Amino acid sequence: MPKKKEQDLNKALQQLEKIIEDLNSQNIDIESGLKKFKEGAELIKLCKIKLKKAENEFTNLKEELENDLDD
Amino acid sequence: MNYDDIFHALRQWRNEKAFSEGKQPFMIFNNATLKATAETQPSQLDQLPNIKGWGPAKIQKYGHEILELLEKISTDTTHNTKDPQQELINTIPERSNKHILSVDECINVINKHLNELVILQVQGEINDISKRNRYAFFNLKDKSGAYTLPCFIGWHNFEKYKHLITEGTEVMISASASIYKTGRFSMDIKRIEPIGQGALKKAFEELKKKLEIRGYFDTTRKQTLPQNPTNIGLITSQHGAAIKDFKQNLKNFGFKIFFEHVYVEGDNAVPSINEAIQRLNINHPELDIIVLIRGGGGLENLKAFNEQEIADAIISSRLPIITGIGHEKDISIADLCADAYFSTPTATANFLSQQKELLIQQYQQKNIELISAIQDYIQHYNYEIDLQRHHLIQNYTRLISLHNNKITLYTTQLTHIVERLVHQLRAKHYVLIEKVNVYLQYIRLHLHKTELAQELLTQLNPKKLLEKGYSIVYNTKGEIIRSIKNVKVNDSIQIQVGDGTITTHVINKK
Repeated sequence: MPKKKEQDLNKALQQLEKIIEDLNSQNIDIESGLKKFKEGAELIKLCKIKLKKAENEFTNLKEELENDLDD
Repeated sequence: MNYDDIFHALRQWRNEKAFSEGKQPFMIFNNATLKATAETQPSQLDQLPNIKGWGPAKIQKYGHEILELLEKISTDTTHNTKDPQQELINTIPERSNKHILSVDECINVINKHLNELVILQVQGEINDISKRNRYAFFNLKDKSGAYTLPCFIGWHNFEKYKHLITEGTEVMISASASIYKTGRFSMDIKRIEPIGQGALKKAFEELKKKLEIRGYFDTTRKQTLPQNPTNIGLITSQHGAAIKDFKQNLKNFGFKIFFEHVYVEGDNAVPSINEAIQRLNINHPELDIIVLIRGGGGLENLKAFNEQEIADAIISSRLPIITGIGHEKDISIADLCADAYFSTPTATANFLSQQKELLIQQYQQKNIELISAIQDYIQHYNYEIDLQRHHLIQNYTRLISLHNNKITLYTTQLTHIVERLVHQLRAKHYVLIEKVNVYLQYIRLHLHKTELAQELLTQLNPKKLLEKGYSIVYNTKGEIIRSIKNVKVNDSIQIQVGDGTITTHVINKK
């Protein structure tokens, strides 16, 4: 996996953790809460797409490698 | 015309006829018949059968001739009445008028007339021989001994006939009469022939002895017979049984015959045989051999083959000569001189055929030997070839097996290398897969984390409050209205509830 993407993903996950932490605190107003929530949902969506894509890629790679081995 | 003259004329005619036909005089006419003819003096053909000795055959053959002769004698004597002495003298030139001769002239005249007698053939017994180194004198006497004819034989003929000149031998001489300068009358001998069985036998033995001493019969002198005679010079009479016997017994082996017809009997036999031998030798270089044959007969009939001239012709022949003369018992001088002789013409033909048969047998034997030799040769080489092939196959097999071993070795080594490589590759592969797995796990971990975050976020979604019955009010600017201060009556506001937005007016504020 390329380093930049990994970094991006790690950064996104860290942001997500911060958002969840922020949402958990009592003194967040609903407006910024919604904002943060939207932000988090976006991040999750992004992360999921990226991770799914990576998983697919790696699964395919693994299958190919395992097929090669069988040949 | 007296009886004696006619008899002598007839006798002379008879002797000349016998000489020209190669026969004995008595075979033409014997003396008794001549005497009877001279006495009768026939002038017509039909008178002849009445004379003893004139058979139909003789009348046909000699009748006219004799009648003509008798007529000629009678006219000659009637018209020729000249004095013989005068006639003699007339032949002498110069002195013819003198009627007196010198002695030598006289002898010459006599000899001239004696020469006119040509050759006389006289039969009698040899007596009173006086042999010198190279010539001989003897007397020829008749049986009574009352008449004597002195004879002389000179060098050339003496060599030829000296074996016949023995006391008491009955012979027939061919001779001319002459008087020597000493006045001695003699018969000059040209030829001597033995007469009668005993004389012939004796003559044969004498000639045999003579020729034997001279080496005529020596085996060392004789020519080797050709192994495969094909071109054959055949000398014999065309009339005799000999040619028939010979040809019948000569089998069909491709013989080519060059035939020479000769007289095999009589006075002409010796010269004609000699000429035939010479002709074949000179004119036919292709000839392999000469065959001289004659059927059986008494010593009289075979006489020609017991003459020295025949012996000379045979031994000087370039071509080898083989003979088959007479019956089985007869051995002639010609036989003894020939390079090989056989008992009869049939035996001679058989010999030639057997030679061919033997040759064919030898060829067949050689053929068999040759085939056998070739077979041995082939067998030998087949064996050699088999051996070589075996060697070749062996060597080749060894070579192939050597290479096979190398190939197997290399293959094994290569397989090992490949296997090792494959193994290494697989190991790396596994490592790679493992790494991929690690990444996958990592990704799944993060996915899990993301899903957890999503769950948490869902729970923390402010809209959840709307679902519980809380509402959010926004002004027209979209700002959340947190205090009544923020609105006036009649302001348009939007109320967000769980499942939608309500737009309304502020009616009142407290």
